[in-house]
Amino acid sequence: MTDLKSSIPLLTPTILQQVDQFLESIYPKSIKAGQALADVRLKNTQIRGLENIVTSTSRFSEILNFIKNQAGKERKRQWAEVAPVLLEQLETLEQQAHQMSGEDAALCLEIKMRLARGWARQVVSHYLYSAESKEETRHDA
Amino acid sequence: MTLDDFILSTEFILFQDEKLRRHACQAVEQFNNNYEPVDKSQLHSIPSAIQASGLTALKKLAENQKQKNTNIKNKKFWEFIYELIFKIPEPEFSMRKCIRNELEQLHLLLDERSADGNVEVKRIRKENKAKIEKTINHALPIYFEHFNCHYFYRTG
Repeated sequence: MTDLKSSIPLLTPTILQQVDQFLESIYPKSIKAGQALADVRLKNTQIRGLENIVTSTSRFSEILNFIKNQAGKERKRQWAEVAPVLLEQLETLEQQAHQMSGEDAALCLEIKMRLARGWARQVVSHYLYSAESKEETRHDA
Repeated sequence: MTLDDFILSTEFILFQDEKLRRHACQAVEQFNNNYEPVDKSQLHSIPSAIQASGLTALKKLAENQKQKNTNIKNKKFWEFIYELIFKIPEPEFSMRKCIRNELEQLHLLLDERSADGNVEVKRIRKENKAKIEKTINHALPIYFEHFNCHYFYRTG
């Protein structure tokens, strides 16, 4: 058992490299997720809300629950449309964290959060890029 | 390892993050497959009851609602919540069963079969019940975060 009072596990350079490599490998999927967020015309503030949760929480499932909650409460059904894609991608990150950490719970939690933050950066960056491009096209037309 | 060690461990955080999440989601699916959906407001009272005084307040709320709620589908919902958390002997799908399985796996519960006579069996049951309820109390806020969010998502 790993006591909570003990420090957060340091990720070794090898694990950090594995995390980066995995994030590289899922980049095309993250782009699709970012595109989906832009396609349903979610506002910047809502995407920043997602980004804030991913950055501030120490619990992976809080991110899943945030998305589910958004999807469940809004009337426009924008989140509901993209939630399945986002949730599926997050579950993939969770599975990957288990593969990288083996039986080490503390390490697993740490890797999950690092993967989630990397994934969110990819998704949000593409959303911003895509939403901006759409806006420009609309102005040009 | 003691129960307190487990509750303070990262393994417990991971357990709440994954196993309990999956369990809560399955419970929602089970409810949706067998009963009429209820208004979200029914679920909104759960976190505040838990925050006020954990298992005791939730039990009081569930008992009150299943006895006094005049709407049949709401009544069914609260009966379901009661079975999910409080019913003894616990149904297979209950949170109590999930916690019991986890504690048994970690050898944190006493084995009734090792008891010498009825008095000893009763003592072991009582001790195990206290351990399970202590663990439930610690896991309850997160369990219902999973349950509520999944319910909102599925019933949108």
